[in-house]
Amino acid sequence: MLEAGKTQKSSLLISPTGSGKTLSGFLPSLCELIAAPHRGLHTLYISPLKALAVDIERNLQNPLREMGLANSITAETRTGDTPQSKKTRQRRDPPNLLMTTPESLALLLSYPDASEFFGSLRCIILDEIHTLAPTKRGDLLALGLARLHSLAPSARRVGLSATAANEVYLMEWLSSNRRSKASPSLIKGPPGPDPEIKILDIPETSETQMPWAGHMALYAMEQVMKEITSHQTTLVFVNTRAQAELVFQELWRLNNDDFAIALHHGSLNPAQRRKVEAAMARNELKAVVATASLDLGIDWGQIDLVIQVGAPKGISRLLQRIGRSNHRFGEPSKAILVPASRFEVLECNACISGILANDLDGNIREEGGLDVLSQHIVGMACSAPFEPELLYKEIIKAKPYWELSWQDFIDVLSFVRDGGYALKAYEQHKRLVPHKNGGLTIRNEKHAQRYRMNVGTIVEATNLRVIHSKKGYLGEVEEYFAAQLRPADTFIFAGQKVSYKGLEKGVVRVENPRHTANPLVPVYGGGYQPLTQSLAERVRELMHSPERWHDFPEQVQSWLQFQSRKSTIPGADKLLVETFPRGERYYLVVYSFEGRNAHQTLGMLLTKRMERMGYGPLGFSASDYMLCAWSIRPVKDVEHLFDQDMLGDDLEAWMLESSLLRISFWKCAVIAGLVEQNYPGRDKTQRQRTISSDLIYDVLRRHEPNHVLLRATRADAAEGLCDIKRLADMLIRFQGRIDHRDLPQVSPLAVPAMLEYGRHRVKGVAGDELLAEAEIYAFETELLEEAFSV
Amino acid sequence: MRAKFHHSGALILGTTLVVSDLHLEKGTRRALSNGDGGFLPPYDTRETLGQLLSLTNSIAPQLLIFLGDTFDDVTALQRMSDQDQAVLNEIVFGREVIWITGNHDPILSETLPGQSTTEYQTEHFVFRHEADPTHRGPKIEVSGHFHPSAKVKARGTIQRRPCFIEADNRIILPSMGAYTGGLNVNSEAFSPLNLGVFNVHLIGRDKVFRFPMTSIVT
Repeated sequence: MLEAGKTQKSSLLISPTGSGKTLSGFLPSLCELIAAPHRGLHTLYISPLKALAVDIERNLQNPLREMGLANSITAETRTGDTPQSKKTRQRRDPPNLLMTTPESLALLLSYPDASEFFGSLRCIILDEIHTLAPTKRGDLLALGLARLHSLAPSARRVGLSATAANEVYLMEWLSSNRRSKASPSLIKGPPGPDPEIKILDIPETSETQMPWAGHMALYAMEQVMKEITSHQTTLVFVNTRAQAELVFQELWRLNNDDFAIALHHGSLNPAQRRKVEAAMARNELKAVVATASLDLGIDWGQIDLVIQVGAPKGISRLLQRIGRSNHRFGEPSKAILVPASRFEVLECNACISGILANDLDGNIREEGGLDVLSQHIVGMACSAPFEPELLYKEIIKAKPYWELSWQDFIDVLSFVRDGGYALKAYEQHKRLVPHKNGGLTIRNEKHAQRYRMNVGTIVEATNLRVIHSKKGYLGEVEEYFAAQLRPADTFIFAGQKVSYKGLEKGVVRVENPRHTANPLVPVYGGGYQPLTQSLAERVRELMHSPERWHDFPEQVQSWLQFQSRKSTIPGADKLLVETFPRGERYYLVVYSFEGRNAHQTLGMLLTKRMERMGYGPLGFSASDYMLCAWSIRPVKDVEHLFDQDMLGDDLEAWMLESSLLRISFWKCAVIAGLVEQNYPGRDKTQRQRTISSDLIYDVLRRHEPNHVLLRATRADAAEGLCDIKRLADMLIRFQGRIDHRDLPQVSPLAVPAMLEYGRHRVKGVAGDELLAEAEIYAFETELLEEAFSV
Repeated sequence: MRAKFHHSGALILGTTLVVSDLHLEKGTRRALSNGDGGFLPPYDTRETLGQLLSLTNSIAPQLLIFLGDTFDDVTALQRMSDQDQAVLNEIVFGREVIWITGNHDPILSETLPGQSTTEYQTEHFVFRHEADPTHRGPKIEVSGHFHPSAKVKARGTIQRRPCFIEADNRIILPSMGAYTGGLNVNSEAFSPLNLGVFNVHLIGRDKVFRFPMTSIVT
């Protein structure tokens, strides 16, 4: 690393967690700064997590102080949580080392003083690059790096990554230039020892019934508490914020020894999160319950156990989390997996064997989003006037945009300027105007302000602040959740039970509850990770290897055995499809194990077909393991339903109608700045003011189907949301090999599907058909009531 | 005379066609009022007028009544593209037209053919933009303004659609505008009207579905 630093070459360091990666990233910079004092910004450190940026600063300040250098080498953090006064001062008087996030970097680059601020930059450190690169956040960062390269051409790049399966991709992403001469050098750290992982051992009594579906795993908390008690410090990872709150409550209920157990997730008051992190650093906590908010890098030496509650969904992801324990290099990390349902037992088992086989799942993102590009262009316009040709040349230096065509760039520029519509309705209101010295610039400060309030690629439903009458600001919940609350309703939030008082000026007011029966828990959309492909493969293999079932809990074994008797176990070379009647409906269950995203697409396609074939589909639910669709009439011709050509016309048609695409459109529209999440003076309770993005989508696709935003939406759908390729591969593989079981009732394996959340209502003819039927009954009931009234 | 509820959101009374809350040029209004970007697709006018044109072509009404909020604001007509204005002209050509003013378009352009007014009375009906809480029979009041919508349970699913409200001596039309949202009939905004016993007519793809108020869910 030092050598690379001396020659000013960019480098990619791949090394397992706990090997001292981050510090070695900084070492060359520190050496340079000690040798020669530097005015202004020298090294920029970018991490995906705010918590990580803060932690790195802490980790630098200690040695700097000890070496007596704290006055000559300055290190500071800058994120969305940094107070405004500090931010202003930082721009005037930048520190030598600045720890920040991709969003804060985008903001810094959008100010007119960007070239001054970054002019002295010598080194850019990009941490956890394997998690950032293949995402839209990575797109935005790559564009920022391209701009930094123009502002400080001699600044070298240092990429830090945990062991990953896509080295070449990361090297390309890191390089500032397509030409191979400038490609970064690859430095690999020695691999660490294998981690010690096992599945939680729960003594099987009738009380601990392993759940059929769901993700909360609350049934296992007593055993989890026992593990926490017998270790020094435990990090308990969960997959969702709601789960974090519930698990935290449950653990405290069982916390007879009054251990210090804390809570950490992305919707909590940032000040509270910092407190928890600081307490961890001072060794004051017995356990922390956290979501992905504590996923990365933070170095807490005393953690000796990681518990993953709920299936981890990916091998690399689990490895990442496991790496948090025993942060001393050379010692194996210790982890326990807690499956939340019977299917998850299989998934957890498969994950462990995947880790031991070093079968890492790495992502590659082919092309950068056009919506992200729009956002970036606005930011650049806010910073300084630009000539389109020069900006284009700068942009195509970023890996996600290597293949960006000039035409696409012009289309995006056009969109930024006035919406880019064939109908020139906004000529008088253009956002980009010619600058007197040449080039295009942002029209006025109002546009710049709006841009800065909405930087980022993380799109979430509207969040409302929750303020407690005695404890102040607790955190945020989604508007959707708050809308269903009635005064005196109790819910769990920020680790406590609160009672809803009311909504006041967009703020959720709460107080201590009088009763605590049946509390609700806030649920947040987004952040869901589907099962990775390699993990899915392993689960499928595991399913049809009965000789390996003896490792499973008794309850899971008998469940699978029952399934063999009543139906059959999904085989390796055949696609199992079950049909059965229940209630007033007919069910179709497909066991494909392709992950929830691919299943959602399959669900849409199948129900569209079912509609055409006259079965009257009503809805479907998709989990990582299977797809379940229900209809008014039973499906007779299953083979025909799975015809390969489904992906052609059906996919096109589905693409135009589907609700998943609408969500995709909404996210692109927010990122691209068409509709916004935050604008000045926005009163969050005034829903009438905003036009639903659904309506916008419908109008746009009918009148300008090839608009750049719709292209961005379709690209998203094709790549991320729907896992089309996975689906296509699956359909080809099982062509003509459908194992259809028509059953008289629900099968054991289908029970989880029946209980699954995440249902999709099908907007189609069936909706109207149902209304027609309901209409007849509505008046019949009325008539009879009338005729037989006393 | 039987009132016919059409799935476009229009009310047909013999040879009279009544439509409401078109909110033309709603898409372009944001760019004007906020001046900070967010250029929404300016095609809502085209979409809405396109639907209305099909309707007038197939029904060929003699009298066309716009119940108000036809335009999203007072300068909407000027903003409209030439092509869209031509369609509007085609819609109103050769018919009697009444333009009721609404809260969004209290003033209507003089270039529009026909008559503009706040209220229009016939033998059996009175037409206004917003329902009057004090209205009593025997005439039937026909109004818009609220953009009503309703949810109905249907075989374990919940179907939500824009709807007409048919009460004792009132009819409230849904909005026809492509960018307009709906207000649930359970909303407090409807309370002052004391609707009493009413039916809702939900709008489907090519048909309207009638339900008694007891079928409505919150």
